[in-house]
Amino acid sequence: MEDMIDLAVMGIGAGAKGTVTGWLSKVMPGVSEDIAALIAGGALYWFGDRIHPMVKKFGAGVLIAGIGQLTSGLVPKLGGGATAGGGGATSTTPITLGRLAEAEAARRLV
Amino acid sequence: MTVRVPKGVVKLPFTLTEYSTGVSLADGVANSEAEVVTFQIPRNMSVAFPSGSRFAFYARDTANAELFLGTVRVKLADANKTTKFTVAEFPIGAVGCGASGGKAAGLPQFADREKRALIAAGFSRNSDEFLIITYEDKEGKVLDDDEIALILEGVQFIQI
Repeated sequence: MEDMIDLAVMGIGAGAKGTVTGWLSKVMPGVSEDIAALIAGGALYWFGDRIHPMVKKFGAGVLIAGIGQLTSGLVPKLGGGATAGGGGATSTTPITLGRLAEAEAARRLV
Repeated sequence: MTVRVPKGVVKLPFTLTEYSTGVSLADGVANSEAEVVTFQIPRNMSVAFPSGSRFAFYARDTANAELFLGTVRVKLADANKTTKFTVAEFPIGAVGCGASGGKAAGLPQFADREKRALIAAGFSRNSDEFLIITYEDKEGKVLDDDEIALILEGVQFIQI
């Protein structure tokens, strides 16, 4: 039962990766989302048990999600094609043309 | 953030000109703002113009005189044109007019890519939505749609 709770907390950590990295990206604007997940997840994993043992588990989830996002392009999807990068917590949102254009428009050419 | 283009979608350079498919041109209105270029994004396509995209616009009036004093605006609209936002605004002199010699022929902004105006902040449009260029006349002249020359460089995503 305890294992299940640990797993659930890790799952919550993985799901909350976006929130944690979003906050960290605001504090450190130059850091990319996947690196922010590694930093935040690593810090929570290694130092989180000073606050509460569950914080360590939560950090593990964030860390796993960060590693998942970083390596998502390396593992081909079943049926071919690389994943679009779901951040460990697999994103089911399809990458639409509009979202691609929005991401492209957010770049700076000069 | 790096976005990988999924299978079935191609990313290609895109240049909007007065001759592009889907572009419709219209005359201006003296002392008023008018939509002179309207581009509806085709189905299964989206376009993006990142910050720093290059833009040039040239026009003459119906008496074949160059326009100098108006304002050119790039606007975005939804598929029903109910909401419009201005995303870029230039004095016409900054984007192309100010030198004679035929329809944009020999103009620095058209002949030399490096001299074109740069879009300050990026924007994008999805299928069926509109990209509109307006011209606000300030010298009592009517912009002639046959005398428009336009270059707007960006990127397109096409579903294949």
